[in-house]
Amino acid sequence: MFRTRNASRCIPALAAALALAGCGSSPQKNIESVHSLAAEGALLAQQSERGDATAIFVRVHAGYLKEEVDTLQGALAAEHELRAARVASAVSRDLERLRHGGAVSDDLERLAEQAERLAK
Amino acid sequence: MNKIFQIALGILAAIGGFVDIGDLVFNVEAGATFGYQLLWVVVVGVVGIIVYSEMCGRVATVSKRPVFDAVRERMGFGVGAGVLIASEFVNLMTLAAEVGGAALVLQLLAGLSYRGLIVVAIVGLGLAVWVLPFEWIERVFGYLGLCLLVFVVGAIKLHPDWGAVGHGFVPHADTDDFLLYAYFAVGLLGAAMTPYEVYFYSSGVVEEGWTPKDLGLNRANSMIGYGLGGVLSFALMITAGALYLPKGIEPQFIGTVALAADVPLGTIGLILALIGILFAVGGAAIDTCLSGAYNVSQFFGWEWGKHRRAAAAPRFTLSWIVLLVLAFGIVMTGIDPVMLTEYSVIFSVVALPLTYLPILLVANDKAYMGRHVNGRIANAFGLVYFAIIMIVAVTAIPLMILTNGGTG
Repeated sequence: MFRTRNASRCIPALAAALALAGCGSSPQKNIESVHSLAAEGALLAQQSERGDATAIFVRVHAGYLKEEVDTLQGALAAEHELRAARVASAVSRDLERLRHGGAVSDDLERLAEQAERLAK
Repeated sequence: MNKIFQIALGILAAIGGFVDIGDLVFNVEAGATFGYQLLWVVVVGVVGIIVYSEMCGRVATVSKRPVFDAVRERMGFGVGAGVLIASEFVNLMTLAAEVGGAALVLQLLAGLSYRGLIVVAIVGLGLAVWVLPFEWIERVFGYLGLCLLVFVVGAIKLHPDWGAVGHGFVPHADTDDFLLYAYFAVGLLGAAMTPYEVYFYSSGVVEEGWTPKDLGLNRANSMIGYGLGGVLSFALMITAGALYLPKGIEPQFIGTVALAADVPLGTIGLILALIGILFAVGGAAIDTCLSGAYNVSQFFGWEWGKHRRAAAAPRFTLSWIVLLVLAFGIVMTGIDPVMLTEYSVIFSVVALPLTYLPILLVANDKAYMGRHVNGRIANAFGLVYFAIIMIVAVTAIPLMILTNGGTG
């Protein structure tokens, strides 16, 4: 009986812990994610500028990168990490230009380096 | 000659069908996070799936009954029901992840709306299962999945530090974040040894009417097919380690996986990677869907089998259709397929003992197996792997919580 009651109490707690796993992110982690997305965006932009990727792939994948950056930008602004939020905003603008064929690899590399410095 | 041809075809299908969305996600993430340090874990996982799929195939061939049927009879209704519920839950999560993954790849190829392409993916998979005979499902999706060999070429072209790659096959952990390392090790093992693979394999053996004369073919398919399939996993990890780790890129999207083939090989590499991922994931979706239908039908004693017409196995047919519809519903909620993949792999790890213990017991049962019962080598491997499976099953969920879902 005691074991059953304990197990009944444990299950909701475990379910909550599982649901929350992967949800929480610190400001540090968010800035590192901005660096990662900017670096990946730079790589994608280089392939686009060389003509080594299809326009559809670049548009769709840059779109997903931008969505994630926009989420991080909002989180960083809410955490008062204003410099990091400005970098994220600049990355988002470049990714939007990349979606429409813009040449932004150098700018995204620079922004990735900026985000990496902020993360350290 | 015919036999050799048959073996070759089976091996090719096994190679192309080895990788599913769990392998794609975990191998690329592991490479981008730890470089080549976890290559040894892939070897452990590949040997594990070889050991158990060979056992499964032997059980099904000799007893003429698929594994789930034997599980119910050997372990009793109660335990069998528990195994069924756990495996169906994991099957459904995995199926939804594969369907979502296929829709994402279609979007990267065609540029159309993701939700519309979920419908296309579901209808396409449903038609493939309805129309294609069993052998042709394996061949079409297995052969086109071979496009993933582009990652092997890409890995070589990236000129990784081959000394460091070789060192990756020796167990070691050169990291401060041992919990995250352990999480990825668990995920890689889970991705290599997902339960639906052995249930599907054993049902397929019965569908194709294998006899004890085919046990050699069973062993060849398992060892060579899965062994070479493991090379694809190595290639994914090496590519990510060479390309993404130095740049600090954390893979979060299916497109990131394809980009890893695009960088060294250009547009042709990108297209081949996307086609390979589409058919590998699509093939895995079909395997998972049919595996779920096989399990339910075998547990309740219904008529089952792809070789039967739909009218001759109505509840089996309805089962796989219901699973596809449920998966469709899950993916249409907008849940991220990559995140769903991680959850499905980790939960399948927890279910591994329920899958593999009955197989080990039945393969050791002389009443079922006669002279084809497990020998000393099979038992030694089986027991070692069962111990490994128990350790990873117990640690999987705590590691997922402690590492914040693998984000560190």
